[in-house]
Amino acid sequence: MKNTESTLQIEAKPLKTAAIILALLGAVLSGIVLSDKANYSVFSFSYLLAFIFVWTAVIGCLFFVALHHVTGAVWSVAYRRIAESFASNVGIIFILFLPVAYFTYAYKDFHLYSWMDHHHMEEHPVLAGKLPYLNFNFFAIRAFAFFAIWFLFSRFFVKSSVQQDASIGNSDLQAKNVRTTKKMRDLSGPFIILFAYTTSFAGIDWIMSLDPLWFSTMYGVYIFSGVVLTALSVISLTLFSLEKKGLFPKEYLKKDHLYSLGALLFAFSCFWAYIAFSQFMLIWYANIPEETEWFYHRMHGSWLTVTIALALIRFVIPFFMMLSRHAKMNIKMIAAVSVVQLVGQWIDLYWLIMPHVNKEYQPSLGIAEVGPTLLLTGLLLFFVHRFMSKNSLIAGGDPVLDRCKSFHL
Amino acid sequence: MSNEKKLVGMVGLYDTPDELAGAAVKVRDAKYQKWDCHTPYPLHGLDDAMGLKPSPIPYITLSAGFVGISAALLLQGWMSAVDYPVRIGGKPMWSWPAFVPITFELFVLFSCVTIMGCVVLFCKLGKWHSPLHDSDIMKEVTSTRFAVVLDSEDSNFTEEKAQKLLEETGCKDIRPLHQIVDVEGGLI
Repeated sequence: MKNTESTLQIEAKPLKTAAIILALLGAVLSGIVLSDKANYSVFSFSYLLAFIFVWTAVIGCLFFVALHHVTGAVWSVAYRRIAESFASNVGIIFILFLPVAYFTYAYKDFHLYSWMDHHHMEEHPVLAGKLPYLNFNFFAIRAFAFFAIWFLFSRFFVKSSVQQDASIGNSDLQAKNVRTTKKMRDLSGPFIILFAYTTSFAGIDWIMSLDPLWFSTMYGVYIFSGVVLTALSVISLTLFSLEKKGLFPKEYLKKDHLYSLGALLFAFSCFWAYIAFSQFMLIWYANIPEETEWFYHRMHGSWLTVTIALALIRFVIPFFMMLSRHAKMNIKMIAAVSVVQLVGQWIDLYWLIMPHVNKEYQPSLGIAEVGPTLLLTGLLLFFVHRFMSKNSLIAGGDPVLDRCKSFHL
Repeated sequence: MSNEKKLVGMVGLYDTPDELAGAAVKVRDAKYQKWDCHTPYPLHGLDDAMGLKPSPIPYITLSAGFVGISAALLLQGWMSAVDYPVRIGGKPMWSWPAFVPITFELFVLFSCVTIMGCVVLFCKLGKWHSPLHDSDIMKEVTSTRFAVVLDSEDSNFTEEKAQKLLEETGCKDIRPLHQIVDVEGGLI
């Protein structure tokens, strides 16, 4: 089997240039913000936001790869390499996490996580009971364990997949490739179980514990829905830009392939709405002060605007954009919805994280808020581009690729 | 008792789905309007091959869904805020979060029932019989084979032309479809 797509790589510079410009702009803006010591507090929160934003993209793509293997999906074979080029960046994400750990540990005059204030914690009877979990050492150990798991599996999935490429035009290796695919399928199941735990606990550790008193048992699932939506959006947008440049073979962009992608995007938007509303309604119904406070703050004053915008952007607008069967088959519509969903994910994280800066903080969109996001997004795109320019754009050695080419729903 | 036979269509039987899809394209291009395909299982891509127009069902369903949403909100709002107001848990009378689950359910219910109704209506269910069902052809297309049925009511239809068109599609098993007229003057 001679595949011409094996040679398809992004030679085009625009993405690389855009990524570097984005990162530089972000770095300059962040530098301006950091030049004033009074901004350290807001900056650490918006850096956390930016970190979670790129983390969701990377970890979501890793989940997409595992989901592809565990279900033995056919339609997504050609799109898997795009997910892998994001998922290969777990190491980068770990380095980007280090500033979060630094902000948590180093600053004494304000706290990114208020549980770092041990005096306050010990005085409060409920919070004192949470100290064995919410302390810096255990926090760091957990984070390290999460990253270790993600790193090992992302390395395994990406490396195995790239190794399979060697068989293009070499039929002797096909039997070996079948074995590799089977191995990936075997390990994807256990990974998804680990993924469920690690992502839930990462969400609890990194975002939910911003308010150590508040809790929601839906939180892990809520974070998961955002993770998957972000991953599907970045995959769709990458696919769209590749298609626009004519770098992606048309036989993998048939209606049946695109419908599968669009339907997932649509389904997870509804899933998000379901999870978000369930979380809200139960807390609203029970009306227990320690739980309600979290929503009360977000349902009054200018935060209410953000809440309504979130519901519209994350669910209502994408729902009607994607409702039609033809919209789900149209790559332009999928890309448009992906942009909406990425904006939605950012607003979602903003809504989750920024109210905790302090009680007086009002929603605003200044350089302190967007700077870190631009920097980290630029960095991630740079590394994604680097991976793509080194490897084939399509998992050419996958034994299922031929079936993907003639895929019908 | 005279059993007069009336020609109501021509049937072409095929052994594989690909043959049928190819035939459907040819019949479509011959500008036939009244014709149909019969398969033992749903065949994806056949709607394109047949050149079927987009169905109005999605719009009808969505409208019915909105009727469901309005019905649910009016029903609950009227009951709990107007007709028999009872304050529950210190919440406002118009407590929209509590209404959402039922609103969602009625949205789904109205949509589904409408789809069911549309299917019954659009598939012309409720007829007691049809010539195709009375023939042996139905036994074959519900188990192993694939059929194109050209209706005699189509303006293009003549027995010779239909026969020729089906031959052109590579069909090896062409059968005329008859309806038995009579038994006390009516159609069976």
